[in-house]
Amino acid sequence: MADDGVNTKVEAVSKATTETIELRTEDGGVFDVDKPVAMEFLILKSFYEDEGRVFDKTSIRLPNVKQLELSKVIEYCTRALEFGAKSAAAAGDKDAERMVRQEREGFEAEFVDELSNEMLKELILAVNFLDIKEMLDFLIRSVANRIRNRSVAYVRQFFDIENDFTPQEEDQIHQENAWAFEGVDAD
Amino acid sequence: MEGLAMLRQLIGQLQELLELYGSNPPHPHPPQPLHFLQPLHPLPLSELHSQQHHRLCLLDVNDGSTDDYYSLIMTARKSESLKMLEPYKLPLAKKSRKDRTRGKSSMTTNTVEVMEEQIWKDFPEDLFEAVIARIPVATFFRFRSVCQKWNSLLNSQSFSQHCAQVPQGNPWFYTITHENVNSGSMYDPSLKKWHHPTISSLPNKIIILPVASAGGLVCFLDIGHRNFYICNPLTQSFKELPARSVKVWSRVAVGMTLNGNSTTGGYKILWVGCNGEFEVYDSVKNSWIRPGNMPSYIKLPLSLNFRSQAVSIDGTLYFMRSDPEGIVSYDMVTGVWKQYIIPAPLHLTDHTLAEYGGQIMLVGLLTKNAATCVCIWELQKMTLLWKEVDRMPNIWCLEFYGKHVRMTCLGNKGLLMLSLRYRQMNRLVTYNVSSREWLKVPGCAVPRGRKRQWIACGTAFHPCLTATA
Repeated sequence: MADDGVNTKVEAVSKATTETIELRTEDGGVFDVDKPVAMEFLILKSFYEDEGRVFDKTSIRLPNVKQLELSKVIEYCTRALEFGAKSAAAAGDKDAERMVRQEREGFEAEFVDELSNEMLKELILAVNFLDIKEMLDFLIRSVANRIRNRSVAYVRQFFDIENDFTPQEEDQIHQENAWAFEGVDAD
Repeated sequence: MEGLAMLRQLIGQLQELLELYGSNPPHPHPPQPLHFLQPLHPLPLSELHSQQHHRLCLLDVNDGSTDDYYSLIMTARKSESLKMLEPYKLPLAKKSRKDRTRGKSSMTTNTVEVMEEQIWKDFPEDLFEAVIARIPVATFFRFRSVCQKWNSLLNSQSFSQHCAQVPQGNPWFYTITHENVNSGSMYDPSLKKWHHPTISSLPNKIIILPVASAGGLVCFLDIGHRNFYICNPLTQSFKELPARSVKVWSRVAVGMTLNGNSTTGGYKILWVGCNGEFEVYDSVKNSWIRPGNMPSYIKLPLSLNFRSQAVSIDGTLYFMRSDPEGIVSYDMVTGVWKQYIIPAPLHLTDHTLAEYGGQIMLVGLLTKNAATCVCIWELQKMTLLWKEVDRMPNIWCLEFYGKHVRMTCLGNKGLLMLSLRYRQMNRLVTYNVSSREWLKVPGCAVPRGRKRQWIACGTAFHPCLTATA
């Protein structure tokens, strides 16, 4: 997550009136985003910090992001910051740390469960554009999780990949990597 | 050529129709049910429904005469949007079985569901590789048969970089069993699964034993202590090291370090013998170099503990010795040897060094009055004394009461595998140093074999797809 001191984050999240940035999506959505959340988007962070711009209230247009995706991104990043603050507060107390970890895992499982494959892909593209490293890693892992226990045929269908091996070639690969196929049921 | 002729015919017929009915909005809307398609624009279905838009048309196939045009357009163009025009087959209500089983899917803003195949078409290559880099290791090898591109990812620079960014999980264990001295068995502690690869490149006429590992590569030494081999057990990337210049054929202790963060920066291998002879192999130069003699302050002969693997911390190797009891260390960068005198705990047998987070640890069997227990100690740097920090749960230790137990420790960094043998039993246990968790390991059996195999020796290694010997 962003490397501001944790205290700044906790303060920012709990302040009654936080600074906000207005973000406009390409399909006409308008969002008022808390500054700490918006600064998780490295594309925005560098826009302000690296280029030394003064933080003012002008609204920013995000050309590659639609409102459905942005609302999901904001939801995830807001919760992620909260978990970060809780986790820091629980530091040292192993039980409390475990509780925060489990809470976070529960939220993430629910969050990704509701996403169709298409939505998941659109989110990845949006998050890749906004440059939010932690969320990107989470989403990519989720795609990996959706195919990890599947058969080769399923994976081909999932990504619409053509099988460009001859049957002999496929057999050879199967043999060379036979150890990985042991004890795996089809699909 | 047939398609071209049909296309020509189609255009001719369309032109005829255009003349008949006109194509400009101001014309009075013809009462005929026939509308026709504007050939150059792929049409989203929602727009087609709009009555206002005269340029966009929907073929009304109730009129038999339009059937010909319809089928012509289908064969000539074969576009996705035309598929959607199939009468009475608008895919609005139909959800493919795949989607139904994949949990709730959010409604897209279009009224027509996008065909499954379209989803990943514009997904960048880079992100594909990021996904594949996060698939479990064994699964990756299965998925190599998906297509040529996935099969060749192991040779891809960009894929290597993605793999390097994925945080490393638990190490795997490469073991040699008594029953199969010529091939290895690998244990994956995350999935609790044994794998039995055939590493065809390793010589199978002589017995070779894994003695050290770093960065996903395992270093093997043949049982006669003559030749070294380096191998990535997953990809079979393999190299036989050149012959040593110092001909010491007695037993040696071996340590391995990486020059940088991965094998791409190269690696070094050190062997040291009991009379103080030692040599270092540099993979970058592909040769053995002899940095010098062991300094005189190191007491010889070195009664090296050969059951203990060398521990590597920040480019320094630590070996366990006795007489006097303690540790000798060698800094691979500066070439400096150091000696530490550390008294061993009492009643200790079968002890080996381990390491976690830069902290040196000791694992061993403590036997007192017929009671045997596995204990873990930490080295106190200030006092150079071992301090006990953990023990195997008592219930498990009871199994060894009054029995003569031998222990081998495989792996010595973060996650340890302990092989405990007595009479006819071979108990396998893993110990996670940071979480202090003791876990039972399922017995090792070859596929289609029923008998459990006995672990002779082995080493931990990080399953790394892109480590090359």
